[in-house]
Amino acid sequence: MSPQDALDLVLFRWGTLELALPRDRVQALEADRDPRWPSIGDLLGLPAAAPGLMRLLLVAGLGGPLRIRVQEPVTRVRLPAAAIHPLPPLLAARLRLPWVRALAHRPGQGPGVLTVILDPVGPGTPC
Amino acid sequence: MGADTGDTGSAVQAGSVAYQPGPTLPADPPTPAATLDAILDQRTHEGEAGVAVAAVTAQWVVFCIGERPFALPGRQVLEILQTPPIHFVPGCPPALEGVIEVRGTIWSVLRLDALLETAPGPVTRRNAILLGRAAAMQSGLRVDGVDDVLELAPDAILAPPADLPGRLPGLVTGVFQHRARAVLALDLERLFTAWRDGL
Repeated sequence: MSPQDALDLVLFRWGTLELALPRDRVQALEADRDPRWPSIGDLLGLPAAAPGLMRLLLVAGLGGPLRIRVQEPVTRVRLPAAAIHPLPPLLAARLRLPWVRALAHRPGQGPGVLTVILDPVGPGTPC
Repeated sequence: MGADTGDTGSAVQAGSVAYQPGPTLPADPPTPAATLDAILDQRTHEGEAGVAVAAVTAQWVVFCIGERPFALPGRQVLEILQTPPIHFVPGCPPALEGVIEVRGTIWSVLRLDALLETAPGPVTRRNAILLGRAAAMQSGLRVDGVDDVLELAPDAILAPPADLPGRLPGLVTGVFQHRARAVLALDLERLFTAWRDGL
């Protein structure tokens, strides 16, 4: 798998969801010392997640860097391009969630599990 | 040669046995048989007639939502799947159940019961997902069960009833009888366009 055929992602969780940001959108990973920062659930309008270990991601946003609380574990993976799928058109047309750009099915991931790939500076999805 | 074909028990070996007449043929029936030319002509045109029939009929996939039967044109249904794992995607309207992966392609899954405002039936092993494509749009469509796939001539499809409730008047293109029930014919392009535009 050459670098041109793959995408580096930072994976994290929110409740039962597995979410990811492109590695080049994440500037830093920090300890979660300040609960006043918004969580990814707050930003996307997701239901509250059960309490758990949190980390802070410093993310490149349209209006500048943004600190976002996410649930552990936070990991980095490289996915082949073939594992990354654009949103189906009829889903993209009606999706109410900002930042959602693609879906991924990681090798070894069990049935029924997809990773939602977010992009805070992608087209048409301001948060 | 005669022994090889097995057509007579008494081998006829040319030149060795004097000719003995066999049983006489049955009498011709009162109605004369067709000629070979006539049969060949008929067989030749049988093929043409078959093509002509196929050209004017259309395939329909009949399915049910709750107790109500609907149908989609067969040309708009690529595949019928037993319900595969459906992945939840946050932020979707209730009528969009999630996505499925079919041989490396991700398909959205629309709930037809929600789009058609028709009460769904229970979750059973008959539940299915139709993979539909029309006007460069495609999606999976969850239905309660597939009843039949059949060929219909255009004149078997009548104008839709005038008293259809809710959204159905804009989505139903006709009605036909199947197993003594009125089946509402749909068009996937109408359905997808209505959904995309905010149904």
